[in-house]
Amino acid sequence: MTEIKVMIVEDELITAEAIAILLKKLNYNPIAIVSSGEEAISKIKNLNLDLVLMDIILAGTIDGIETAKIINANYNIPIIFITAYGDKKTLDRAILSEPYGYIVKPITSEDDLLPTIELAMYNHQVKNKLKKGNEKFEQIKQFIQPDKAILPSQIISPLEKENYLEQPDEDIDPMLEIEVFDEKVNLVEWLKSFSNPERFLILEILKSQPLKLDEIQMFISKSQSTSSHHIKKLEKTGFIKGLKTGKYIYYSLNKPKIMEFVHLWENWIKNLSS
Amino acid sequence: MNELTKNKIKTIKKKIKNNTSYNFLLECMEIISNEDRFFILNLLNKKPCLLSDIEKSLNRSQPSISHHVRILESHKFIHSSKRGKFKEYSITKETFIKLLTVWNQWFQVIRSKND
Repeated sequence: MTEIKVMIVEDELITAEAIAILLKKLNYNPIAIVSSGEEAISKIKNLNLDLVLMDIILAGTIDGIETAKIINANYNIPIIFITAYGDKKTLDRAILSEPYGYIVKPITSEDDLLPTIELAMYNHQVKNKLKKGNEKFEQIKQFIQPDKAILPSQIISPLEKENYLEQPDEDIDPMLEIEVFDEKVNLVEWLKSFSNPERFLILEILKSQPLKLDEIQMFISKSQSTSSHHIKKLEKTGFIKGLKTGKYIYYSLNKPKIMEFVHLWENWIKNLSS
Repeated sequence: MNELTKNKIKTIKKKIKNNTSYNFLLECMEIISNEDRFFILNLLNKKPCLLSDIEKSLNRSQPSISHHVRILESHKFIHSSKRGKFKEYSITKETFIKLLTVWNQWFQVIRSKND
């Protein structure tokens, strides 16, 4: 069984350490203890977590409920609240952030943690399966409604789509600048393949048939070295690939990579046009 | 193999260069693929901003920002409205809707040829 990685967000270090010890006894892996929501958000990206245990009162400017909302909006990680505040008002506020459970302190034994965590992990699995099922259903729905335009991103195979699902959405809260930046570098780099007239022309002509270097050269009317340079650049982004056939290398469009770009790019435009 | 004669290449090239969708896409890509302009579009997508807001977020000199904003505005990616003494910039959604439509046409051809 794979180890379940947990982050504890708790402003009292002693309490956090005590919870960590209990988690270890239950064979969970408490890989991070942080004291504020801001710290939790900045660290979450690189930890590949399976679960977050979150106190409501935290050291930073945002409380546990706000932090949970931000995490929920950007990551697919279950969150359980751990708090001394068992009152109705706090509970009502916490529910709005869709937690997977709520444990009231003090936590003294493994039994205080285990049932809630197990149930949360199970519910999370079920929710993920449902989400994937819905995605597939939406795809099929598009196919059987002829009046509705089918966008290329909706024709991506379920497998490819699942891979995308694992990544956080492009549309990320302004707080997570780094995330936005990562996405930005990627997309802009790719866009550059299309922004150069020669490279766009190469992609345009390769749409209809694979071509050799000298043929591409004739199309773009540039020297051999310039043509090679553009081809190398396009090969580097992965948009085209060369296949040796006899003496010659024939270049063609690399569809999976183009699909990946199309998915990012269309999401980006849709985000700006909606 | 299907020989590509010079004349054939000339005809295909002419057809591509006269294609308005191709030219529109190329122009859009040229404008958007600049890191700073891409950043400005993402910023304005979150909320309309004054020039000074963009300056603060992007950390570039005012002339450089003005230059990028001018390009984006002249190609109708963004538009401005008066807010007191200042101009507030926002995304022009219609341009992006058009971009998505044209892009889809271009991409559909790849699909049908490759399948």
